[in-house]
Amino acid sequence: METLLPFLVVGISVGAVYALSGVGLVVLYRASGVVNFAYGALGGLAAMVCWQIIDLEYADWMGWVAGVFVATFLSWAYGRFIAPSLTHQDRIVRAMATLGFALMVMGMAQWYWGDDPRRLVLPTDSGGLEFDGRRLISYTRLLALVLAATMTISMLWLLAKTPLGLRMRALQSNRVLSGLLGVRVKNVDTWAWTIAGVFAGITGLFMGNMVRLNPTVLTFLVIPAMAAAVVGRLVSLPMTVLGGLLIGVIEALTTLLPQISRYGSATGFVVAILAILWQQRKGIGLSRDNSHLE
Amino acid sequence: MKHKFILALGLIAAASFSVSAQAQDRCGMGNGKKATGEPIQIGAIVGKTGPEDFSSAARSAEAYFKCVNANGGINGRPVNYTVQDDTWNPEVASQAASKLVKDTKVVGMVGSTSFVECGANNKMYEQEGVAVIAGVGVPRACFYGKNYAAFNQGPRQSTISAAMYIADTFKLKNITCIAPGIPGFGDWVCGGVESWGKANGVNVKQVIFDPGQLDGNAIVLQAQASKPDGIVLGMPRGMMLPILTAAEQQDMGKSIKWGLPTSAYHTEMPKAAGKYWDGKLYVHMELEPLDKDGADTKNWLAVMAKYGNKKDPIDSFSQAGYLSAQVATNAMLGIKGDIDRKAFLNAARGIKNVKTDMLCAPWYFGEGERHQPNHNGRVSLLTGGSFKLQTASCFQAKDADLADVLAFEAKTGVAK
Repeated sequence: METLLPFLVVGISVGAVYALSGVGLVVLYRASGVVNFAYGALGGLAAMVCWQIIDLEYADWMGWVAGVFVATFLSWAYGRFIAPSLTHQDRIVRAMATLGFALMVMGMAQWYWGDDPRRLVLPTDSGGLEFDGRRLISYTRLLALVLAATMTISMLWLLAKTPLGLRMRALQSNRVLSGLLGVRVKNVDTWAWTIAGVFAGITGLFMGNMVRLNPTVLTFLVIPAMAAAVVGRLVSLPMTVLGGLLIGVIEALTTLLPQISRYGSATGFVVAILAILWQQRKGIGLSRDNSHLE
Repeated sequence: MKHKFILALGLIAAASFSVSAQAQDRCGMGNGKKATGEPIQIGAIVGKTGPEDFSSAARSAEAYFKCVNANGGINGRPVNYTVQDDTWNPEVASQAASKLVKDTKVVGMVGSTSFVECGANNKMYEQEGVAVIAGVGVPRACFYGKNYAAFNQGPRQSTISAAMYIADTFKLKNITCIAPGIPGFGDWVCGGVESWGKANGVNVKQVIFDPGQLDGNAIVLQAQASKPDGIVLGMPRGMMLPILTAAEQQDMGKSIKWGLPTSAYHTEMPKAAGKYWDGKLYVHMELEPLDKDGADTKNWLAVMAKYGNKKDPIDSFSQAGYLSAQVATNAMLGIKGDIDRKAFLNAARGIKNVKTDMLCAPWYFGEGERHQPNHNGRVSLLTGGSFKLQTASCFQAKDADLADVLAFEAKTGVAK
């Protein structure tokens, strides 16, 4: 257990960021019915913008704010101006449109920043909790854990207790009926895109720090996030969090086994497939998401 | 921003001075006349889009060919240089090579750098009689092709050399080699370090990780488990940074000596690694220092300043690309009669004893069944925002796989 502990802690901290990403995807999907493949690209852009601001020797906090703002703004702009024109398209088309958006953002970022070696350093990197004479977890990873928990709880509260959450849940059940009953669909959708942008920005900063500051690499952060969301059937926030943590922990533990360590990045796919099989063990039933009845 | 590109700007400023001091650039015929004849088709395949941008060598080769074209070309004929991106995909690499060889009908390939193209295309290059004077060879296949010769030592030798240096200097007994599990790469690189360790009384453990794995911490923890006193990272620089970040968070720079291959020898690396690693990273160089006081080094920087893009990297791979274009240009200038594929291949095979201040020892293409002409380098220490040379003279990588190459050199005298 002593050997496993550091790997578990590392896995949980990365899993927390996967979970946070998954929550961002699920919140948007519940409200607007769009699977957002641009999530990772927006996070990557946030990290690059943050690095650029800090590199220009502005205060660190200005970099963080600018990074999250850019991701939020682009997500809002997409939700406000592009997504509405695709509302009546098939879900696959709407998802593919976000993939196009992702490739545009990733391509522009890669073109502008190129592939020079760089790091996004956070002030919390240098300290951490010690165990058995060595660093068990850095404050950055601890912060990621705390933020993941706080933001997930906030989202649960927003969905359950606020008028906006009520409208989001109404749209999830039936968009056409909700519109007829007076829910301002476009407005609620835009809010969902904005929230997703904030989530993408924050997770992008963490992943830019913990993983690798490269727009292309961060764009593919969407894969474990998507897998976490699939564990939650794109509906349940607690299950999405569990899925994210599970993927992070398994991925970290695979490094202990040389036979499978080089396939660690397949963890997301394996967990997602197993989750789908488990969910369908009693046959394919109607999900709580009735929007296919539109 | 104050420190941005500090070394690169310094180098380019020095180069600009040297340009103004010279009457003209030393490229090809060097007559200052624009080449206007029928273009000579030259191609390159690089891994640009993917986990890491491997186009540095082709960029400097392109700058050199621009300089050649502005200086009389190849006896009045300009070089039309076409660079294709293989996107790190062997299938795309095959298609790109096929397009260049069969449709564009290139005379030869110059400045290529790829993780996948050697394995995918070496056979076709042999069948079609295409000589590849590559910039940088990456996986094993790049050093085992009859028509493919690169200017670098290769990641295996570079990582072995880094391990040799830290082990010899600090009397280390346990080294861990970390490399990505890319086919023909990770096992080959760390396998080389392990073989060297066995022969020299150093216990070497391998950590081969999934290159798609996002978190460097788990990799570092695995490396830490074997309680090494030295760690070498056999990988591209982009993959190093998350591992160095994770190691910094574990404060592993204090008790463990770190050796890196030449991919880390880049002007932006000191800044990217951060203050923590100042004085802690020993970096092997497959080519000579970027700021060496030598005619070719100065000319390379001058060419990059005048014909390159300001975003082009200033690193060992750029040096290799420059050399590949320079050597190919000289080979073409030496061809009597038509410059076609066969003539270029024959000219390439005739290249031997190329002496340059950018390499420790003479380079050759030669008639060998495989090519690994560069096997000597130096080590520098990342310190004070720059690199400080640690070895007064070049040293050869103790790689058992080099035996056939060394025997070939001794027999033919191609590297005197």
